[in-house]
Amino acid sequence: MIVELGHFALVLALALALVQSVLPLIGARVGDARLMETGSTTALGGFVMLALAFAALTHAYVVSDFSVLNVAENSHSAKPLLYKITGVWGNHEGSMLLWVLILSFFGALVALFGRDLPASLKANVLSVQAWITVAFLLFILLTSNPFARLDPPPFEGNDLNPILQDIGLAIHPPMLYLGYVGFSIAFSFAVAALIDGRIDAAWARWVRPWTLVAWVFLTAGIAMGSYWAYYELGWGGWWFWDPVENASFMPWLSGTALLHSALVMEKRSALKIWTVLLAILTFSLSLLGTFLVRSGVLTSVHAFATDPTRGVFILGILCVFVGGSLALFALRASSLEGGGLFAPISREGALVFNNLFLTTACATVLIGTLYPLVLEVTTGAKISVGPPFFNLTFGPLMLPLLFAVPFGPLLAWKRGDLLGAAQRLYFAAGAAFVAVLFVMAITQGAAILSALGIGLAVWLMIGSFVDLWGRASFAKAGLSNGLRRLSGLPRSAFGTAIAHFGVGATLLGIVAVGAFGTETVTTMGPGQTVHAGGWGVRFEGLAARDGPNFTEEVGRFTILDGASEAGRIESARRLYTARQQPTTEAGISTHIFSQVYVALGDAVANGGQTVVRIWTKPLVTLIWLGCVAMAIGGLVSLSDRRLRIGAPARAKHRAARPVAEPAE
Amino acid sequence: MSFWIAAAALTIVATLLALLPMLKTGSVLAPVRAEHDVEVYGAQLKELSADLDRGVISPAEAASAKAEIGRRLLHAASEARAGVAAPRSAWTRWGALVVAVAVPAVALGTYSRLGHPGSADRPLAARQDEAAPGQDIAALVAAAEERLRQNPEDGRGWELLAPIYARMGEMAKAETAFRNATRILGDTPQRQVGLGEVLAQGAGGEVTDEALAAFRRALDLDPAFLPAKFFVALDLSQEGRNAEALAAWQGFIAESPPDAPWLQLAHSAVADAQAKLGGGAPVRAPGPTGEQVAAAAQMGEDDRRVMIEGMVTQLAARLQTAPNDIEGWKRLMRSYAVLGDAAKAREAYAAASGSFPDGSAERREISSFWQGLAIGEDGEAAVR
Repeated sequence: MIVELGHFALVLALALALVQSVLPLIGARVGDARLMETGSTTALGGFVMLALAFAALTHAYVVSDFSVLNVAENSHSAKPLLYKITGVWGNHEGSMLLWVLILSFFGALVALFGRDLPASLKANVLSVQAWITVAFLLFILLTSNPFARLDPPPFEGNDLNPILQDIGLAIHPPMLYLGYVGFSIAFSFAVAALIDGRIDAAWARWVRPWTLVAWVFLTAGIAMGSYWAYYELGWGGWWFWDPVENASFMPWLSGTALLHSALVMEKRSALKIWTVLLAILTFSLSLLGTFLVRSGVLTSVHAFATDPTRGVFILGILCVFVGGSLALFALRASSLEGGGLFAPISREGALVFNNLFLTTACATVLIGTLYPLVLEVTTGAKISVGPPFFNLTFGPLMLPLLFAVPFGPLLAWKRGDLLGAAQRLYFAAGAAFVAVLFVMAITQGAAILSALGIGLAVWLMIGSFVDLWGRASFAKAGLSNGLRRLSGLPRSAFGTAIAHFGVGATLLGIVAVGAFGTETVTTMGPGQTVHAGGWGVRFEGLAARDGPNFTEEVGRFTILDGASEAGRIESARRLYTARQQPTTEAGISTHIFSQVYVALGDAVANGGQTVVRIWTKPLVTLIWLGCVAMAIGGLVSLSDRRLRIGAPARAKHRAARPVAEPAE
Repeated sequence: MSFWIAAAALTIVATLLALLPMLKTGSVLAPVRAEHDVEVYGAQLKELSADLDRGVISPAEAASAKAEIGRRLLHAASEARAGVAAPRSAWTRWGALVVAVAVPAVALGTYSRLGHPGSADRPLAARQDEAAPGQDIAALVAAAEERLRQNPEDGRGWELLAPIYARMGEMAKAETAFRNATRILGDTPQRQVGLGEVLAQGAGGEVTDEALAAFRRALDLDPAFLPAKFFVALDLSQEGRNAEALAAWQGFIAESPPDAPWLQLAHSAVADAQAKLGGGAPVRAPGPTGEQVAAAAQMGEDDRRVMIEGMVTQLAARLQTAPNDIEGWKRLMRSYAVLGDAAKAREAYAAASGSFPDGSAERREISSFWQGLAIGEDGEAAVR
């Protein structure tokens, strides 16, 4: 009965979403407060119904109810409880249900906390949100129903792909979904503004935190997926420019742009139309990502199902929402009021610069991702666009952007002082210069580009805190006064500094691994030691071992730093017996920020010899720690709930105040 | 029924949620949105003066920001005076009507097309005693093996699997399973008899020394354990130690309950031993009849298995020494057929055919009897 009630609740959610997609909109058109109010109650009701449906499915997984087709196909009675629960979204149907649940969760939050919103804006937003919900609920009910039943039920299920039985993968999809779906709120606000033909003062105040929330989750989700691929796939890489990775990276790039343009809009009422367009594009890219991953157009570990009807359905949703919202934009954008004016050299100008480069970079990723697909459809030729393309296009676009990052927060609103900002950055520039010289010295000038890259990273990391340092003015006010001033600064300033610092840290990790990482492939026998990248790796021997649902060959290694032991690791070849699926378990030894990564290759016939791949990865963990810093920066900024107004600097007073202090 | 009550409750809750705002009485005026803007700008002004007090921004900046907010505020305020909204109750009435009809209609209509209203939940835990007819035994065994691989110390699992292996003819696996069950759960007469029986069947019905040791161990544990006694007596018969066999069988009969289903078998063994002792003509080897097997079906699982398989084992052993017994061969084939062991039945058929000269009446009789059993495709092919 629980299963069928869950199914019924899912259908009720559809009925409520249908009401929600029509009545509040009509209410907003004719100015009927009662009709508008139905948006809130139906949003809450829809969320409750979807939560019931999701709980019912989870219950079926936990008790191994194999009369539910979805459970029989993706679960197993002997699976640990944790993976029974995460198995709910470890498959196509369940993950789409989670997608819609999160969508309606965000809708419910708008309904609950949107009291300050003008009633008609709120009604429109909730209606647009309901359109998306209706589309995806129909998709679920008609092509991927998680509540399909089996009679007679089998006694055992098919189990979950062993590669997915991992704690990283248990958290990664919900994180990504919170990110993807979070952008739906920005989208709904944008479309609501277009429908009304006006942008309220509260609009930006609402869009920015929502975008920030989505962005934080997306950042964390992508970083987690990257680290998972790094340690689980055993290829030693952390990013492969795989289409599925790109599918999540594109909304991140445009979402980052949206975050910054929403900032301009909230504080200065400028860039309104552009922000609306970015909000539409960001969510469109999220939908595109969902389409690419879920349709089976791309084959990868993420493509659970390759059912053409599903692909066509999602493609239809994609066309209606992207095409419809862009058409609406074309029709109504001219009726929106433009915002304030600003000089090219100003905080606004810096953020436009940021947007320009981020969206262009996003476009290059989009081309690199879609071009092979289009080519295959039109000519049948199969090509793959890999790192060489992205290194040549994406990389050069990022460099000027990253170089400019420290300038942004130092420029004043409306009209800025580039020279003044540059003067304040002399310390960061000096540190970067020293870093370049240092790297050149230790590599004897062999790695000029890497040295410059590391210089750029240092410039970013130190430059991020110049704004805080200057505003606390330790030099003038002394330590205790400076600390007091520092604590009085708005949290959003700290958020900016921490997030920009994270970008620098990630860059440092990327450059260091690319330039100074080593890869060694060799055959080793027990007792043998190989030296790589300043580390010694001693092979202790190979042993067979049985796990709960796999058998494995384990290689034991001792990591040597000079002559002393620096750690012991195990690296294994595993065979999951139920599905006869081999996997590699890399052995990773972490030394603060650097790692030694050992993966077993094939065994060599004679006497315990085996092929071993050894990577040394200096500063590699900074790549992900930097992402964590970005996410933390986002959260800190989010905790700053003040109403924002960017105080413009006055042209007349600039001469009197050489150090322009921008305010929050 | 309870499903429909719950579903109806959910539907009512959902419909009421959608209707609630429209059922409010009194006039509800939507605030004009420009008024909202005025509120927001007012709040911004407050924030600004708070920032100024904290010293976050300079007075000059505060002044210019204030001027800017002021401009926006004036703009919004002039709009706010212009617009006036009026509620239209006609829309509300129509909306309420549509909701009251559409929500239940959409939900019930869609669910009746997609759902399975009568289907109960089938959690695995509640299906333990569900019989598994038509279930693929091999799949069940594979699942059980998988569980044992994950938890090799599950003695109960080994114990369950052992007789299933034995019935599938996988004697080596059955032996391992019995030994594991014994190792983990401890020694019992039942497990020892099971092991001995598997060993005997693995040896083509011969109670080997190893099997005998297991039966004796069972008797050490429980001197009154009848199945063990049965096999010990059987061993004596097979060895041709007829005097001892006679005594053992007679003791066995004396200890058995008067209505025990294996008594007939024991009596014929007694007769056989007596005949051999007296040097008389060989008696026809008795085998389990259909009735006996049916009677065995009334017994407990362990007893029944021990009895039927014991009888069949005994019969097979006997036929090796007295291959001319055409009725015995027929019984053996039918017994294997009843036990569902097609391979063994085919073996018996081959052995029976080999015992009689080609073209003889007995050979034809065996052949037609075999076809009557209809063992399956493989069996029929063997006949041709």
